[in-house]
Amino acid sequence: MASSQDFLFGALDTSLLGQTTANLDDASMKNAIYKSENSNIINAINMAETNSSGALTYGMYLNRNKTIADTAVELTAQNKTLKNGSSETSARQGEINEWASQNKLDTLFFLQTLFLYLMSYIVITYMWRYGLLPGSTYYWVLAILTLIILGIFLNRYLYTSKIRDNRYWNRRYLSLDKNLQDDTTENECASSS
Amino acid sequence: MPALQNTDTDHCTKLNRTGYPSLWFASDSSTAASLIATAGVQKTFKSSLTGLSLSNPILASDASTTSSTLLQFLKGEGAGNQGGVDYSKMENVLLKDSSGSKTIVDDYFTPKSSGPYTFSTKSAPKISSTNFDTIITDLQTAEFLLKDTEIYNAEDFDPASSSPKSSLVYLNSIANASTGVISEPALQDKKSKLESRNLRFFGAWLAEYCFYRCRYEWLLNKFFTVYKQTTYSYNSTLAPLFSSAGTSDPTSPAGATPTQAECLRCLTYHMACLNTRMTDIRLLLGKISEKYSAVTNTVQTAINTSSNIGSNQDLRNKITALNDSAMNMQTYLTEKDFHDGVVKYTSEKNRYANILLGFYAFLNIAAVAMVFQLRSS
Repeated sequence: MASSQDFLFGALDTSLLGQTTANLDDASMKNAIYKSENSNIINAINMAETNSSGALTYGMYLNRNKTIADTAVELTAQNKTLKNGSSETSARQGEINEWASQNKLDTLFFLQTLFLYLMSYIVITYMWRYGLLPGSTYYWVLAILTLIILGIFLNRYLYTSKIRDNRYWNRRYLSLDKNLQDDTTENECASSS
Repeated sequence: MPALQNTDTDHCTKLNRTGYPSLWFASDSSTAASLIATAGVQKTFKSSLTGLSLSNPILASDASTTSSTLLQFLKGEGAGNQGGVDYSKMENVLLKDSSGSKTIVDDYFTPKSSGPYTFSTKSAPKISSTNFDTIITDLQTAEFLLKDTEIYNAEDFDPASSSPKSSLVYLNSIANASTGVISEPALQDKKSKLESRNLRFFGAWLAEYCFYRCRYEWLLNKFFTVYKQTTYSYNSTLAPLFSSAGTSDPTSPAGATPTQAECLRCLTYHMACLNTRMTDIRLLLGKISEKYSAVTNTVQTAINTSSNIGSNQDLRNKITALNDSAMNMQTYLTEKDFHDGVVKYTSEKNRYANILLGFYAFLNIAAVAMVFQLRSS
């Protein structure tokens, strides 16, 4: 039976086995074996359970990482969509309002000029009627004022419809087309108001 | 909290010895020999279970379960009482499949043993290392132990995957954060089963291990009693441990009454056989531990491999992208506030211009009227 003994007292120190029958302290030997066996159970189960829980814990950790990463990707995509979808809307509305506003002020400028012209017309007509102004001077002054008011009208109308940039009020439209550039050469010195 | 608290208390004494006296007994029991062997042949755990009422609790009623997850489970607390299964009862802890009860030694070790499953020596172990791997695979196939993919399966998190999602990590991820319960009953049932599977196996392991251990301790006690006798007298209560006289069996005495040497040889043989079973069962847990450790390492590697989705580096990259996007968004929102202000300002300017236009239109109409009046008078 010698061959079985290496598996017989696995927990027992060999020096204890060397004791003689007379002085054998079997109580301490059994106690050592019991303690070792108990420790074996605890270690074996705890190790297996810890490792299986560890796999689960790390799995949860990996999953948590993935969930956070997915959320981050989703939020990033939402940010991009939001920006791409409406970032220009309010800026463009501002430009449209600005263009319309400037166009109205331009019209207002013409209406003010026209009002001045009509007031001047009334004044010089009265002066002519009451003999304060000779007939030839009256017609000359009237013709000059009429030419000025027509010039202002044509200038504003043609500049806005032909030369002014459709997006920015204060910018001239410069085409890359050579023929168009040639057409607009004569207007290069036109006011950009 | 560990599965078993590291104390000097013998955890085998926490099993219900009163409810199952034929399975677990004290080392000073006077009737244990007949529970250990019959005619020199050791009784198996499986045969000892036959005829027992297994509805008794597995733990002794006074067993303290604090700070030990396995003992709490075997008390029917937490995962030990989920999905309609009460794991405080022996019948629910023991390994069972469609063919009936299974025991680790009798159903997994004995068929794999090289020759009769008696006792191992260091040079000739009865169960080889490769056998343990096969046994673990068999236990996993029989659903007594969690498979790697039942703990964590990367496919469960792949939106393109059509395979059923059933890993414990996935099920935990869809469970209610505070209660841990999944609203869909089938998935909750699956989660409960997976959560309890390994603890149930450890419980069955403990029951079987303690079955062999209490026999070993009883025999050890007897061994020293016989060994210390200066005037030997045969104790007839040991009779079931001996086989018939005159055979080559190590448990067989030469004459009708065993001598002291024959008695010690018989006790040693039985202890060697029992210790082999205890050692092999512990080795099995060691191998299971190694296997789960490998799974842990695989998942850890996945976390630390930058190219993997869900790795720490991947998470950092995505958070950085989100931060950049948030900064761009902040700039955009600031610009948007400004543009909104511009829109309000230009709208107000337009309103003012409209008033002036109306006013000057009226003035001009009045002036034209005056001109017509002047021309006609």
